Amino acid sequence: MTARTTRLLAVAVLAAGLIVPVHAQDHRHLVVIGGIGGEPHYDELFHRWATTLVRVAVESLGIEPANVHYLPGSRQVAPGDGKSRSATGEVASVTSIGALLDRAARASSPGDMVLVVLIGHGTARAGRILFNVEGPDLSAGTLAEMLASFDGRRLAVVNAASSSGPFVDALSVPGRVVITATAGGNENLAPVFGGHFVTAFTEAADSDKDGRLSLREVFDHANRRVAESFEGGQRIRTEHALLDDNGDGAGSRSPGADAADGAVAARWFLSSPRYAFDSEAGRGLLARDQRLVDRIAQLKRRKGQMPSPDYLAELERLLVALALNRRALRAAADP
Amino acid sequence: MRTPRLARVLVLSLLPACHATASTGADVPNDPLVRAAALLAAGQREQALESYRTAAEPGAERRLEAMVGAARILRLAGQGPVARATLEEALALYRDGIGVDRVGETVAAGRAAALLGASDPSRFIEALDLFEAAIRLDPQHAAAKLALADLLLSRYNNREALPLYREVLKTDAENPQALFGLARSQYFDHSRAALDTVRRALELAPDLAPARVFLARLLLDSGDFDGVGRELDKVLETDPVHPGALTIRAAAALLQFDQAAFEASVEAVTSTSPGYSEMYADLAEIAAENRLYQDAIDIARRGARQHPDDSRARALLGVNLFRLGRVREGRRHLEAAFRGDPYDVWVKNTLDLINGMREFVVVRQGRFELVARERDAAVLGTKLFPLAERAFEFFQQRYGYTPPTPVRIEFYDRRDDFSVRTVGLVGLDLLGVSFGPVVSLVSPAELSGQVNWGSVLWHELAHTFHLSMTRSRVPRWFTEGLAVVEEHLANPGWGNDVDEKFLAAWKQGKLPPASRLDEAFTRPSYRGQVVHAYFLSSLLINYIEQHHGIGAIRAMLSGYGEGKNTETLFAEVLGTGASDLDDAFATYVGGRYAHVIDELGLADGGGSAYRASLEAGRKALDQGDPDTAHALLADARHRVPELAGPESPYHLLARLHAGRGETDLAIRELESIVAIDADQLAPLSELARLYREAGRPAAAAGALERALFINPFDATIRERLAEIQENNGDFEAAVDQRRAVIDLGPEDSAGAYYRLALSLDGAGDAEAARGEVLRALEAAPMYDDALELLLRIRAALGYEDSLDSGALDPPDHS
Repeated sequence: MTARTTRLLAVAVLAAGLIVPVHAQDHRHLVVIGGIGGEPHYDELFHRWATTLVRVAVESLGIEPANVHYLPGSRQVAPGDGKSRSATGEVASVTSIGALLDRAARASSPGDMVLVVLIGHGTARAGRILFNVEGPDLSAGTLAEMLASFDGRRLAVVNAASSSGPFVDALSVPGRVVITATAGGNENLAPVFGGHFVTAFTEAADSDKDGRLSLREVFDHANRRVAESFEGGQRIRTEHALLDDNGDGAGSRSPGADAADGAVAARWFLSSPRYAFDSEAGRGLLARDQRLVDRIAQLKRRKGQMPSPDYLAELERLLVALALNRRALRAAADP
Repeated sequence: MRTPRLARVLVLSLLPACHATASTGADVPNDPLVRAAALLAAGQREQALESYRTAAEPGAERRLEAMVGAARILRLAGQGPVARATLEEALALYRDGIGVDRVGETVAAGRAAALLGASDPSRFIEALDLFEAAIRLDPQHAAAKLALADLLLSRYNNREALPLYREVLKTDAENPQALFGLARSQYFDHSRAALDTVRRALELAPDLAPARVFLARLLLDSGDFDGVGRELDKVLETDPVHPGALTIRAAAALLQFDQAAFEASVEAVTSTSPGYSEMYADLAEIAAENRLYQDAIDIARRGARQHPDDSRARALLGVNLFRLGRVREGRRHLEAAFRGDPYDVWVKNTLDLINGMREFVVVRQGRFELVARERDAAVLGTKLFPLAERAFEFFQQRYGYTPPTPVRIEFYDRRDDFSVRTVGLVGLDLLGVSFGPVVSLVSPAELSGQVNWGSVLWHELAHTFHLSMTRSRVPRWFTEGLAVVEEHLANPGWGNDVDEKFLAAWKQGKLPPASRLDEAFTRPSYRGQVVHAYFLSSLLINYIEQHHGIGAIRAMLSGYGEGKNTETLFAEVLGTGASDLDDAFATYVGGRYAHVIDELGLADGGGSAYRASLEAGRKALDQGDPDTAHALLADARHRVPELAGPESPYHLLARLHAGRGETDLAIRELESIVAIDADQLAPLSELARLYREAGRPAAAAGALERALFINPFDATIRERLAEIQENNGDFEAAVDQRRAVIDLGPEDSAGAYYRLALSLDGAGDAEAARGEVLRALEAAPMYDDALELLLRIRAALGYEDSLDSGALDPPDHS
């Protein structure tokens, strides 16, 4: 993570040319929607998860507060400190959710990153898959219609409710990341996934050490914590989170190189990039950086088909190149 | 370890009417069936057989029952095929409708099927159905319920057998058969109540021979050989060829290392009851229960040879070979046993375990062979081998003896696997066991940082020496007590310590005297008695060593190896009789802990000054009055310095001092805790932190090293230790810790490899560091710190990397 504000006007001159790191307009948006808890314990729990996520988004990820929206699920938690809550004091209902999503869609532009997170209870009843809110529940189909207004945005939707698995099928669109706390409608006990999803943003979840948290890293981290929470208590695991990002309507429990899903989520970031330049030279360094990373990824996929010494030699060559390029990037960003 | 199989065999040889008739003495009943039973009870098998045959004539009222009785005699006589044909005929008659409407005959048919189950286990299902059919005919029929209960118990299903015995006793509290069944059920559950229950059965039916043989077996367990002899004499007086009684007589000879008497009893059985295959299995089982594993193997092998169809003898042969590390051979016999009896849960469990062990690795180093899962072997190996070697050399010196090597050390990462490995069934609550050349332990991965595995290993290796020196003849109390003493010698914080519950039990007379310590191990009379017996035994060893020196310990081990018993050795080595030693030892224990007993208020049941100070001190501490708290807690600590368990005065004082910033004083309290009880992780962890705070990195590293004996799988401890070692410039040691972290499968694998590379680089091994940083970067190519380290290491190795050299197409240096 870089302190971009202090580097806003930094100028670096390299042999390659003029490089200007930039502080772009914030293209990241977070919409958190709480569900009705049904009892004080869950009202408080959902509210705590939601407000933690909102706080992390603003304070740690540096998302513009104006781009962060929270619609509490219960009137028991809606009044109060206000700062991180619905400006209107409303609670989540089908109507208010629709209105909020519409506002968020209009506030965003094509290409923006938009993360929509639902935290609450869900039900799967008579073929209808629902997120429980005040008044009529929000169905997966209705939510899918509401999200249509985000066309062109890089949208990710997380439903951390019980029985949320079928939302994958309803919301799946190529290029969109959909995460659910459970694998099916029959996993109907209150899941712990949501809490771990939120805390992943504050824990050391950056497994590829690129200085940014991708949604896949957050998902993987939360998933591990869920597994630990059940194994630690020696209980039967009652929830299995899914991630879908290839638009096929079927989520993966373990997204990644060996799974159908995970490629889009691995490049879906809420945190800003480590380096950003608007000069051609800077962009050139970044492009080379990405090329090298891509080549390393390709090489790793060929690992099993290559003699080990050849693989290691090629890996080292690419890594050395990447390391040198990184030096150049750092020098350019902080001359 | 104990199973109810012996009892099963015995009860099946019992006919409902025989004991009552036999007890009537010389009267010869007219009913041929009753007469047969009486003759059989008197050992007159030929005449009994004749009577059964008479009673089995077509049209006879209890024909099937008579046929089963005849088959039993034929089987004992070694006429197995004829016996089986008789049983099949009885079952065929039953299927044709003979006796189907009578409970007694249905039970007899069930017994026929159960007997056939010995060679064809599927017949047990048939037996089960028949017993259930009998109960349906008369839901109150005691014999039917007892037959079903006996069958269930014989198949390890005590959960369903026990309620049946209780059901019968609810209707008839004085049913000796039901009491006998209940006793065996209690024995299955390792309950000491079995002894009283079977005695009650015998009060009601003194001639119930199987119950008396069972009583003899219980007495054998507690080493009461005189009692065993008395009970067996009563049975053999009536039936001189009773195979069960002769078997226990052979077992008693075996446990007294009287080979001639053993062989004589075995010969008595084989000559009078050549078909009684149970003898070898029973003897092998008893031998194994007394840790005479090689004897168990030899006996079971004889049984398997003489009775090739006897799955039980073959199973015992396999299990005991496995115990002594002869896995391949053991497995072969277990597989044969399983083919013969696929319902034997013991065999099934053990085979499953052996199959699961295919994933284990074997690491040989020095005198030891470590067998464990790859991760456990990697994480434990670095500390295990040096510790095991140290223990071996220490014991070699102390005992002047060298056992055969390699010693096999197995770690099981699942408690159930360890339990199956040890007793064939799940549920055993132990940490380790030594079979002599094989030591088996629960992996610390399964113990949640609650136990010092170093001390457990030391303890079990001590057993390995004792068992080898004595040919496994050392009694349990002696080897356990001595092993605990060895732990204390290795590290004062290791091994069992005195505690309030122990002293309370001792003061209340709930622990046996010195000469009968084994009883507390074999049949504990209260929950926790075994743990107390370990400590009490260690005190007795202390007493012997203090008064007579290590020479006496060696002499006793040597004497046990020669087959001498404890009483003889007390006399020969210590020059004292059992009774005198009991008194002297009681005085010794009383004197040693008089002040603790007094301070805890155990002597007169009055108040405890120690506890009063402790509680008041705790309260003052909680209320923010540290000065008062300190005075009170210091007083409590002074009164009973031996007690250092969690929430002891030491803990509270350490907390108090740490809160006041009195680091040195806090350290002193924590050092006291771990010196007394090295099983506690939290004080060691806190000690390490305070040592670092006090600028004592070497001491901090030492504390963390000790913490690894409690939780070697804690990556945080290893990371902290590595950091200290690196700061101290000890990069080689840090490399070990970093490698162990990787073996633990860290979540942040890239970070772990990177830190290992840093340690290797610090240790001057740039080439190895290069390999590890590449691993880090393979997992996380954009890891800036690791990329920089790679460039730095390459520079140290003479590479000249620069953008100018062609970043995307560098020359091939490989």
